[in-house]
Amino acid sequence: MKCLILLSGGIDSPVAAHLLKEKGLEVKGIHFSNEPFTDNTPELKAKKCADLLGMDFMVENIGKDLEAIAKNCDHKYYFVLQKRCMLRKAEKITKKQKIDFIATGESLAQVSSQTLQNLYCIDNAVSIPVLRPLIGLDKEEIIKIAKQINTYEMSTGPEMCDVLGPKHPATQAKLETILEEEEKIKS
Amino acid sequence: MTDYFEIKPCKGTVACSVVPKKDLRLDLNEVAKKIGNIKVQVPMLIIAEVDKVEVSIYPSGKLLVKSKSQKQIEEIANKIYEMIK
Repeated sequence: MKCLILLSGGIDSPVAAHLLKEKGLEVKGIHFSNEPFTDNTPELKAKKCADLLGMDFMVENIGKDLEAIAKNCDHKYYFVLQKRCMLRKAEKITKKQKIDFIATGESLAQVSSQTLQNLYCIDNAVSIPVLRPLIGLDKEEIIKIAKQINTYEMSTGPEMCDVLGPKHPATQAKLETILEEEEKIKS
Repeated sequence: MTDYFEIKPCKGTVACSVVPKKDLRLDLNEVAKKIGNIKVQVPMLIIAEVDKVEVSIYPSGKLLVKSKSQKQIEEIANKIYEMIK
């Protein structure tokens, strides 16, 4: 079976990809570039990791989508809205390429936006199953695996700060609120 | 580093943040008019091109300058702060 994993350029998503490959899935990677809000360093790191893991790699720019979110929506929901946007775009690709699953490198409450309530809101954006092989791992466990598979060093290289991320993201977003926020973008 | 601001590398060497010594509380609409050459404007920041270098400008006056040259960063920061005075 096939899986499309969101490769951010960070430490976690290559580890998630590796674990899925170990389970026998055919894994392809997609990086959603945030340029111009970042530089291309995350894309380059994601590509290096994909190459190391022997995965097909795609890039799609979502700068305009992020601009629309930033202009129209309550800033504290930025990460939830960003991820819903990425999942919807990934789902379109899975339909075209007959891929069975989407996957991400998220783990529970690793950062304040990755809570169960937020993940519920994020997953609601798509109908395809979203796999999260790191969901129960802590950061130290993830780093240990990253070092074992040699993606750690290339994932921790220098990069530009996330300029759009809120200082205090919502940790318990309500689905109806998120849907209302998305209506602001559509209108 | 100058008396007015401090330059800090942004998790490495691909960009640097320039932080003024005090919060400037900028009106980004006014800043956009004064600087021009705006690539993107959202409520929380502006992305402009100054001397062919991309710069993000925050309401606090903080800058993210996509340059590795300390000299260039300082020149651009001085130019921007002069323009938005």
